[in-house]
Amino acid sequence: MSINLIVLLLISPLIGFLINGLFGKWLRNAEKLSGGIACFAVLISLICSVIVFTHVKDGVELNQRLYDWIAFESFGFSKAELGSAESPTPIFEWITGNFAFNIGFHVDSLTAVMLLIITGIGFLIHVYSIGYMHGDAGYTRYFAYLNLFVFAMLILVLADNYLMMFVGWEGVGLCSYLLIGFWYEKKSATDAGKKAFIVNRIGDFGFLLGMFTLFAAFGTLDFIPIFEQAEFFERAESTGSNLVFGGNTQFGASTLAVATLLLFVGAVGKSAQIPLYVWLPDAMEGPTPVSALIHAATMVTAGVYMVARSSVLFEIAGTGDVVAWIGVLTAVFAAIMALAANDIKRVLAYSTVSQLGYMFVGVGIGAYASGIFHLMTHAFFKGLMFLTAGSVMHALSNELDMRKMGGLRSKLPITHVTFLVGALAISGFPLLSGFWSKDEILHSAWEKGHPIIYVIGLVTAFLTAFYMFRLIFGTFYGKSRVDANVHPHESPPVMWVPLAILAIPSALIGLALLSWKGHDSAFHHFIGGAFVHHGEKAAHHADNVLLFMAISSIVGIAGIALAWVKYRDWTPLDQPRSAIHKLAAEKFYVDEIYNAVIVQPIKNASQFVLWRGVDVSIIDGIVNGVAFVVRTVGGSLRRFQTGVVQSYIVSMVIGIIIFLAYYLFIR
Amino acid sequence: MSLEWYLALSALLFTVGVIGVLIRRNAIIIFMCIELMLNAANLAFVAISRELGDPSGQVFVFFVMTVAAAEVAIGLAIIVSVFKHRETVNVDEVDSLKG
Amino acid sequence: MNAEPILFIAFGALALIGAVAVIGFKNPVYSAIALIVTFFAQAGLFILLGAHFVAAVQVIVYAGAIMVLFLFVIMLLNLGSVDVDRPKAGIAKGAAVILGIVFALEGVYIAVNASKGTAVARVKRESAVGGGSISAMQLKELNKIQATYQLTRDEIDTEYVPKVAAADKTVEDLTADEARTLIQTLQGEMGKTERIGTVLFSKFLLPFEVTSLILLAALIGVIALVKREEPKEVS
Repeated sequence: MSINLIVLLLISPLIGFLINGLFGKWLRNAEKLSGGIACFAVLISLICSVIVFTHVKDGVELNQRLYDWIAFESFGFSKAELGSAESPTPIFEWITGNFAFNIGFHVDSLTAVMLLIITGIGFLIHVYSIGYMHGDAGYTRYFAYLNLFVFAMLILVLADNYLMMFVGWEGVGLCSYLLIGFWYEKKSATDAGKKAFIVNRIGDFGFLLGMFTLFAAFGTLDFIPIFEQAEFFERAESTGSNLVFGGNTQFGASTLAVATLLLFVGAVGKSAQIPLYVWLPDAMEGPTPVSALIHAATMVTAGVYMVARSSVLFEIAGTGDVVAWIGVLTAVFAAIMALAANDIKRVLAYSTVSQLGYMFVGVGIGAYASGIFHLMTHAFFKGLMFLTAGSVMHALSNELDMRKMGGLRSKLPITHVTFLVGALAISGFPLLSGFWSKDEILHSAWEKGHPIIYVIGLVTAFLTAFYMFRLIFGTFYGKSRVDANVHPHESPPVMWVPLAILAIPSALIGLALLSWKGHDSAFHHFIGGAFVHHGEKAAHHADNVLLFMAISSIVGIAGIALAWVKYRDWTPLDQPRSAIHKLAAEKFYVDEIYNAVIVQPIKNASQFVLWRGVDVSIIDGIVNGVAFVVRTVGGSLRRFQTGVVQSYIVSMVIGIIIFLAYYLFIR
Repeated sequence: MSLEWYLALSALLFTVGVIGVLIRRNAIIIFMCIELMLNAANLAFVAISRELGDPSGQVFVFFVMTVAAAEVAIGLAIIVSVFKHRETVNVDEVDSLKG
Repeated sequence: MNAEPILFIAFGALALIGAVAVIGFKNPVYSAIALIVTFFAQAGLFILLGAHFVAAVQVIVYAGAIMVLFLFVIMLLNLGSVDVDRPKAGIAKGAAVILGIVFALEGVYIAVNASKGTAVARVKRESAVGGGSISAMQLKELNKIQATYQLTRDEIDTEYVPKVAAADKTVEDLTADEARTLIQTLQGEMGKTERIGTVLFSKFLLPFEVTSLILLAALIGVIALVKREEPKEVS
């Protein structure tokens, strides 16, 4: 695997972005060309990804520097220092410690899987967008952003150090903001974009602090040296020796715990977990393919990817439990809110938050392969469902409220079938992909001694099946509640073909990769290489596989059945039925609480302290004071400016005389 | 005659020019006084040039004369246009730049 | 008997009287005439200093062109009969004169001390060595002169050496005294038009060309300044 392949993989979407972004003005009348370029760019990346994947499958890994970005003479902690007594002498002690950041790639099985997800689903969504965005005024802009997003996401997963990962991390955040607020004439869309951006900033701040902590502790931000040092530390600690690492920081388990928790704050923001999940439901203001790509399949899973990538650190620091608990609480909380939502995209958004919670449970408890597997299956079926939701919107002239749907099964047969596949998959219907991945996470939770998490996860699984089929029955079954002047129609092939293609892995990928072998499956063998550190923990064989599968199946089917009973022939209520229902429908007033507790105090502080206090009295006072002094001094000085030439000449002559006298007689 | 005499004469001529600029109000006479000062400087140039045996001083005088010619042309043009606007060449009355 | 001191005093006095007259006359026409006197006196001083070319230019440019321009403007503005100089307050005048005197004293002080410890003094000292044959320093000086005026050694040998020594001698054969006289002769000729011309068109070629630009700019500036404005349309 050559680095050129990776570079091609990476820059292809960038070139697509540049073409659509810079020359979009001329492409505006050539929608096919513009969309075609964008799709082609991602297609190249997809092909490269497949090649990379085959290489990785053959056991080839790549960790290569492309370009030294910031490099200073490095003399911090190194392997040589650990191994022998000789230590490099500082040549230039301007900045102590290692100071070298590079643009480099780390490609292993985890990366390969992420690459396939990003480019594969990304490609299908690009194709789908050709149909969905047809006729939009911002057509080329849309594809430019989408390509830029793919580029940033690829940087994120290809990076071999935290700094470069952060660049991608911020890049996807930017694209997310741009695409949520894509229809910027709509105030709700721009507000949602800003909300997503600001909430993400909070998480990013944590990520930054985490990076600082890691740098202070290890003197580098490259993955491999950090992980090696951390492992070395773990061994050293067990033997009781005390080490000072690069950056002159006394290194301890607490340092690592702080670092990982700060990184996790970043993940919480990016992957919409409690308490920073609030931006994701609002992010549905963006075009639906964006919701599918960014807010379901790829970007929001960046947090999960990051935790999985840093698995060594989380293992050693022992902070996985925090991750798992945040994950499971988010899962159940979001599922409850999904029960009461009537907007189909919002239901899917809460569902995404909930499923991301599952993934965090997976990576938190140490079942990394399972977490990543769920990430992958979720990317397929949630991407599929968002696209079908888009198809429904397309059919109903952008109607999102399922109280105004119903009975669409006959009008939109393909959409119905594909949506059903996705819903069955997420509900954990036996043998479909979601069944395997979710079951594995729950099973692992039990195996690794987290029964409470297991139970909550099971409840969430039940709720998931219930609200998903509430959605299905509300949308496709029962009597039609569609407005009389709207005529539903099936989407064009450019839209439904990607749906059909996505439906296949959504249904079957679990069977193909896992079959009955559980932790011994092909996928685990493949991706396990990325998590060597805790190989011994993952290797133990799971017991009672069939029992757990049966429990999961029953729970899932029970949820579906309950939904069938309650919503088979749904007549929407205008008022929530009970207090808890109202609470859930109002999203537990979290937005209102945040507004009252955080936003308003900051606003008031800004207005009354910073603006009226600091700005008006202090800063303006200084500015006006300076002006006043200048005016006063100038007022007295202007008397010298008589306008009579000869008075100036007198001054000049006196000056010359004085200077001459100085030079002649004094000096 | 030694250099000192010439330089002293040059200084005196220059001073007369300065006094003229200071006490006269007629712009044209002020101008003439400026020419006097330039000439005084020329005298010093030539005297020192002879003393050093270096022709550069004389070449410099040539340049000074050229610039003086240009300056006189511009200056008189300004005086003419000021006179056209204000009907005066009294510098005390031309004080638009008063602060 | 050397006539230079007498001529210097005569021309110097004339120049000073003319200068004082310039600022003394109330009528600008008289001032202009007095200024011409000063200029002519100065041209005489230039000749005394051996600067023949500069003296000629002084008469042509200053006394001729520039003064004609002055008189022309005085006539044009019809200032000859009008006295714009109301008497200045005596105190201002007195202050100006006191300033002038201080200024003049400083100037004279500089003049008196000009050749003490300066480059001028050094050159004088160096050229004063006597006895023996031509020194290396004198040769160097000769070479410099030769380069400045673009003369050949043959020209010096055939035209100038006979003026100071036996006709069959070359530069190398001169005694130190003879060499000093030779150098002084050559330096004394630098005011000649030929010499100035050589220097002006070799060493100072670029500044010389630039002066033409200055004159052009002045030309355009004058036209722009005094151009009659188009009569404005009154609507």
